[in-house]
Amino acid sequence: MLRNSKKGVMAGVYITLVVLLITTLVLAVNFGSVDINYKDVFQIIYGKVFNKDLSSYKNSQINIIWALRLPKVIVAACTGSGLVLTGILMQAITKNPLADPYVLGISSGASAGAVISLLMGPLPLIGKVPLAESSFAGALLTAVIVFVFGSRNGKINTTKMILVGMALSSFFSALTNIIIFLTPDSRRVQSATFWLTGSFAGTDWSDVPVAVGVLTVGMILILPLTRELDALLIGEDIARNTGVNTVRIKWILILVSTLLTSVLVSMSGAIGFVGFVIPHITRNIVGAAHKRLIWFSVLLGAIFMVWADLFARIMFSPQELPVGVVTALCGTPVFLWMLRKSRYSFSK
Amino acid sequence: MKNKDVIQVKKLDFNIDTLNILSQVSLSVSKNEFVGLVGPNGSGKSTLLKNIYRHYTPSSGMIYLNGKDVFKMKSKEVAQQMAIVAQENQPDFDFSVREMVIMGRYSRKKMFEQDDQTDFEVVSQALSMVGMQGTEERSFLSLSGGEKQRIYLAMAFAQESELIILDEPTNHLDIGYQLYIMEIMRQFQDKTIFTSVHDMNLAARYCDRIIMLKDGRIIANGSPEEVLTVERIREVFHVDTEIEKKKEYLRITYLGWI
Repeated sequence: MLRNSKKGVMAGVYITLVVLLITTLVLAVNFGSVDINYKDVFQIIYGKVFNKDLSSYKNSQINIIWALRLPKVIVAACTGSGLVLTGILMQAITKNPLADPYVLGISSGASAGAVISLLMGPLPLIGKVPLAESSFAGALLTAVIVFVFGSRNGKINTTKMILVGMALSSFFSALTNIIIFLTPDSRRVQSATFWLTGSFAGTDWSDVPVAVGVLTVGMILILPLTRELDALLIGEDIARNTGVNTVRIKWILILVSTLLTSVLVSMSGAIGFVGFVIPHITRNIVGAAHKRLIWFSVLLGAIFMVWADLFARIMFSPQELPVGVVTALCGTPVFLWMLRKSRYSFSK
Repeated sequence: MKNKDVIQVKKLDFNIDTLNILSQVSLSVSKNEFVGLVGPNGSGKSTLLKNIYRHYTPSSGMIYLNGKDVFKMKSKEVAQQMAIVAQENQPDFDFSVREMVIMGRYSRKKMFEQDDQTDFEVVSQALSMVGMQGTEERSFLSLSGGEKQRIYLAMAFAQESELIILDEPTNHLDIGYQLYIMEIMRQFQDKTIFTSVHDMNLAARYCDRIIMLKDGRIIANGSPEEVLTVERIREVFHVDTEIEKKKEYLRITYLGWI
């Protein structure tokens, strides 16, 4: 569609996407179990940011907007972007269209860590570990094992790394299941399952700097590497022949992916499908070259995730669904439709 | 004399576990030479080239590119001096022809540097060299096998390196393409070409010099007439031949396997 379009056209497309994202963010803050009109939304956010007098608003309104919805929406947008970015990186490094942010098993390690924190009592020696920390520890542990077994003499062997990731994935899923199975309290099991499916229900302001920060770091490290990503996606041999230091680039990509996945998953659980499907949708629109692909996908990922979270909140309101359920439910049909419609082929 | 050698290989050994693939290979390729590497399957042709372009690390020995130890050079520096055309796997993702060929410019670009007019000109020039001019916006995956190989060739040309190594890029292509690619290479008077060749008639016709490998050792190194003899081909390939000189080329007729 926009494969060979000019720079000016692309600039227009990006501006449109940014406007869409902002509209989405406002809508998402506006809608929920309790509707608040736009003017109040703006006034409250404006007032909070610039420290104005908000005494004319009810405390509950201010709370819903500022304390509950806004941080959630921001983190959802960052998570959408971050997962999509990681998906792009993993697809480039594995040169496999089926790769997603979770191929290295990081998310299953995070899930095991989360379930340990949610369902088990205080651990010996370390005591009670908070959810995010425990989950992040699980993710890091998995990453270290994957790095140790998946590299040799400082060089990454992609295939080996994925095999190790798959093995660890099964292992940690089994561990997670054992813990769930042995927990008698069904309400706690339900809350664990909710978290495992991916959700922003527990998100508050303390998560915002972390989510924004990790995404920013990821983007800063990856944006200079769009040529290298193109080369890797064409083929590692080609990349090396044209002068890419593939050993170094692969480490940067793997480390950035791991960082993003660990942090994002430990905040909101392993939200599926977004990181895998959005890059394919955007490739279909702007082509495979990363300079365009990354910006387009990252913006689209944020928009998609905020909408998914909005649906999760309002579909069965006041009950909230895990957002991971929504992403998979909407994502799959869209993806299947796209596969049928488009000339985009996975291979050959 | 040394600085005229583009490639210099000294006492190269390459082992996989305990298996010796290349032993004591020493050779040099001088500026503007067109050198062919022949030998039966498994004789180590591709392994030798892959050591030179750093896909493999030698077990012992040295490889110099324009006088520098190739393993101590930066990736971009190597790519500025040496382009490789190999038999490539097809990518699973769809790039346009321009996006593919412009990869050849990578070693000339700094981080964040935009592709400029020079790059686009080099790309379109490289495409016309391989007879694919005007295909910049086509999707790479929609091309035929021979066309794809020509795009890889254009990518190597876009590197504007002095040396081009061809690692069996034409094996699966029909004879027309094989001749075509050799013709294009022959036209570059100012480039140094080092290529593996299966067909000895092609080697005889296009190469200034032929190096013959057998079981990982160089057994002959010289002009086509010196290297391609009835006795040697019988010994190395187990094939009986008749060799005659027509016009300025050797012509080899295969009589049968012995």
